[in-house]
Amino acid sequence: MDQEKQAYEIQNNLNQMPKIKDRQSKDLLFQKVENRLDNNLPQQQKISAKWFLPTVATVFIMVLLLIIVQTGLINDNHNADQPVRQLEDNQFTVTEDNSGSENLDNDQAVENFDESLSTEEFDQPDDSLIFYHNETEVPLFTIAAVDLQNMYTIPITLVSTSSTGDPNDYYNRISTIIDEEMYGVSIGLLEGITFEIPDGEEVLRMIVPEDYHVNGSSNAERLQEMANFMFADLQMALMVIETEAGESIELDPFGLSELEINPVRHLAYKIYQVDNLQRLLIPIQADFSSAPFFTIDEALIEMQQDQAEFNITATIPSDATFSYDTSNSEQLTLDFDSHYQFGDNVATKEMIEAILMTAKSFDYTEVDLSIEGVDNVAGFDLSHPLTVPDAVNPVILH
Amino acid sequence: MKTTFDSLYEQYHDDLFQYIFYLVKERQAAEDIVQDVYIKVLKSYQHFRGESSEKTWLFSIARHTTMDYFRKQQRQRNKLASFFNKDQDLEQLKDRDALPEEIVVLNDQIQQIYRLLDQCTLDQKHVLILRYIQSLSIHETAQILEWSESKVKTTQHRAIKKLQQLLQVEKKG
Repeated sequence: MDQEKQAYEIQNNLNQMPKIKDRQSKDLLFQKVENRLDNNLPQQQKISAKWFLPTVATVFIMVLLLIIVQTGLINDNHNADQPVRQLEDNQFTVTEDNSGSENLDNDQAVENFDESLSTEEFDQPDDSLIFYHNETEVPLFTIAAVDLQNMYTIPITLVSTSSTGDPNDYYNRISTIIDEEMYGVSIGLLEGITFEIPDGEEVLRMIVPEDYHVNGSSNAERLQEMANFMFADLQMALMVIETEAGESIELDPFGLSELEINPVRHLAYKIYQVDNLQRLLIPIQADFSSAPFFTIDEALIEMQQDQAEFNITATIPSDATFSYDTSNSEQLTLDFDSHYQFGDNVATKEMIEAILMTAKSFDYTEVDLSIEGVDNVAGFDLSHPLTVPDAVNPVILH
Repeated sequence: MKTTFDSLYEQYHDDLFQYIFYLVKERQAAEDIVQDVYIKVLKSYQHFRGESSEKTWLFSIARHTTMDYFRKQQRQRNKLASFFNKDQDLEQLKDRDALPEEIVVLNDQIQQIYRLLDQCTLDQKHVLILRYIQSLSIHETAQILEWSESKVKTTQHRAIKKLQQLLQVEKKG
């Protein structure tokens, strides 16, 4: 049989594949979906009683820090070479912000503590999507949320200016820090969960309520990704899942009872924004068939693709042309031809931020980036190689 | 919410279920995944910007959700593989699912192609299902897969070629 005829027959056979129908009734399916939706709806964010004391202590430290800042005991070590507003800058920003609310009744502020945590006490450094340590290294804690359609995991970095240094203090109050409505993300998977992160060990515990269920492989996959983003940098290797009674629990049909923690690498960063909410850098992995991206050029091409239906936009214009040199394993060289969108503007700034994070995920430490006709973008001096950032999507905890 | 569900269900459910089923080839898994898809869709429907068609959006979500299922399954296999050391051992353990009754009644060649779909890459499988079993256009397929149309055409060509090769190997064997 000649090739053409055989190909035709294959196509014909494929066309004749039968319709496979769902045997569950529409009503039953809706009932299941509705039940799970009810369980997954974001609950009112609240601080549980057991976090009240540590939280009050944290507030006390924050107030002390603000007083110190206002009295100028901390010097402004502004580093002109760094394109991103640094921690010190943010502390001064906070001072300004707070000066406008000096008339707040302190007692009232304490009473409304739950609300203030997610509104006034935490913010993001200007519009920067990346964070660099300045001379003073403050602890960074990467937490994670998922996009509204539960497709992707988005790392968010807590930058703590008044850190106790204990990760337990941060990972156990994620819901009080991340305002889902402000970011257009969901942290429902972490609802009711407590983490026990031991110092100097490689195994952490995730304590879940007795009736906790992951509900489906997508949620299980997101939970795995969240764990990877959150705990790989803390040198954790395994997360054991237990109930409050200390019993091992299987969360889903796959028998998930522990998760191996692996660093998330080889990513392509794009922009995630729901409506006009906060913009975030979102890391995209390659599809299953080829995940992760093998090379950075694959990731750079991915960064040119919009995914409008998922509120994700490209960070590199689809028609931008560029060349790259990956011969130096430490430094990525990237040369962009001139493009009408390139300039000292937000889009180019975000492109650079996304490229830096993407390069970081491929273990580069620097990016020598040139853009024809553009020398300086939002403080990024393109005449020198740019260092990859320390963190992505920073939220400064004052 | 019920109205949105009803509308989506009436318009797309049969196609949606079929697409997922042919990808995972397991009824229970397909039922679970389709639930996941509706949950995602209903949660984010208010944010759907209409930049692609509703159908494209729905199928795109279905594709991603099915990927999650495969990733999860892959992890489990990797875990098992570490017990058995050799992938070959694991292959022998792989459960050969019985053919669904809808396929059993068809001729041998269709059954054979149904089985051989699993030996195509996932990309190829996507294209074969969407283009031939679901009868979608190149344009719609490209939108669902978030690919260029030329990539769909190339993958389709390679997929058919792959099936040809596989059929020849089976014939000789």
